[in-house]
Amino acid sequence: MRRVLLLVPLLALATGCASSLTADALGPSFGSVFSALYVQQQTDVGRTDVIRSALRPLASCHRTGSAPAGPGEDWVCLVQYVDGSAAVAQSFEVQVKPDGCWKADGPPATQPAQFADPLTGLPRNNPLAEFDGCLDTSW
Amino acid sequence: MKVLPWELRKLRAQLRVRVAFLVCLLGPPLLALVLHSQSGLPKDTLFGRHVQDSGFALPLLVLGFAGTWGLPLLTSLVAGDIFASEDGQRTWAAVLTRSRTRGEVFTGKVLAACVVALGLLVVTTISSLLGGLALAGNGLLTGLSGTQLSAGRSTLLVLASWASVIPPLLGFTAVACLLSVLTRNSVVGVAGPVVLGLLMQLLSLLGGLGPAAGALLTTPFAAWHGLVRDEPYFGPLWQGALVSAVWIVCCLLPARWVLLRRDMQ
Repeated sequence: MRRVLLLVPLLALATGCASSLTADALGPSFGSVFSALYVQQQTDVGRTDVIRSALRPLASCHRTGSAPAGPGEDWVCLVQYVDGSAAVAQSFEVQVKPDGCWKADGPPATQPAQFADPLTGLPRNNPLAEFDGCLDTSW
Repeated sequence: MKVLPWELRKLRAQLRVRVAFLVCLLGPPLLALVLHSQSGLPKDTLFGRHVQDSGFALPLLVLGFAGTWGLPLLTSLVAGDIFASEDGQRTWAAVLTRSRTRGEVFTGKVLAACVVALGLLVVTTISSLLGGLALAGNGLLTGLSGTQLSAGRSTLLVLASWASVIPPLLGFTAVACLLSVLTRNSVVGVAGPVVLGLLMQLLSLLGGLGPAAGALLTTPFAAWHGLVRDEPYFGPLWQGALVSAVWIVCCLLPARWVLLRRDMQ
């Protein structure tokens, strides 16, 4: 049993550096989910002219802590996209879980939890307030 | 093959097995009722935030929970006891005087444990899908790619996702069978795989394992994450099937070896 217990941190040391949860993997995943949900959000507020392929989203992510990759709550993703003729940038806090899934929180000022439906005035959930995605962590 | 119907008949008479089926049948609709009566959402689990929007979110929420400890517990309830109970009740002598070899008895018992595990999985799948549809209707499901999936596609994806946990489920069945044979103790057989599953969860939650986490038997329970999206990826699914197969072989071969060579009195 003692040997097994010794093995665990050794194994962790040997493999911990080679995490598949990197900025290069998270960026495209985040940008893709963001653009899909942005179209959904804009459709919800009554716009019909937003096309996903025209958004040309470009997302870059990094960790604010010391580690460059791996699971953690200190990821930040910045996404830039083109809406109509304007270039827009938004920043999200992202939590990356060990199983490869991530959860993004929008800034409350620009992405409130709910907004009023343009037709009925009733509150609707904002799809960009909080959203999830997953990365392929297989070998 | 003749041992299988006998073993199934013995299992059908067990109160524990009946209760397990009842829990799988009633658990998801009860969860739907609870979610219906409250305004908060289980947002920390995948698809938790969508349970009120689409009926297809509930079965995926339940699947997310089930993989962590529910499925190992369900299968070890039967598999962890199926060999040890013959020791506990001193019935090996009676079982082995039948005109079946020990190898046949072993195969029959393992198959019976697998059949019950798959049965429990099917019941939970159907009841959580129906519970979800009753809770939120068949609205569009927002997948893990952010795009909305149609009702027909979502149904298929929910079924495929639940089917994707069959390899690790049978992996835990094999672990439970091994413990049941080795320890001759039902408690160890039932609780052992659950504790092992929780330990593996803990190891992967610590996050330091990197690619080695793929070798854990709990990792394939999350392989469905690659399916519920626009452009699915199947890497985790193949990897999970391979890893589970290795676990199954590494558990069943020694279990069979021990049972065939054991002195049964």
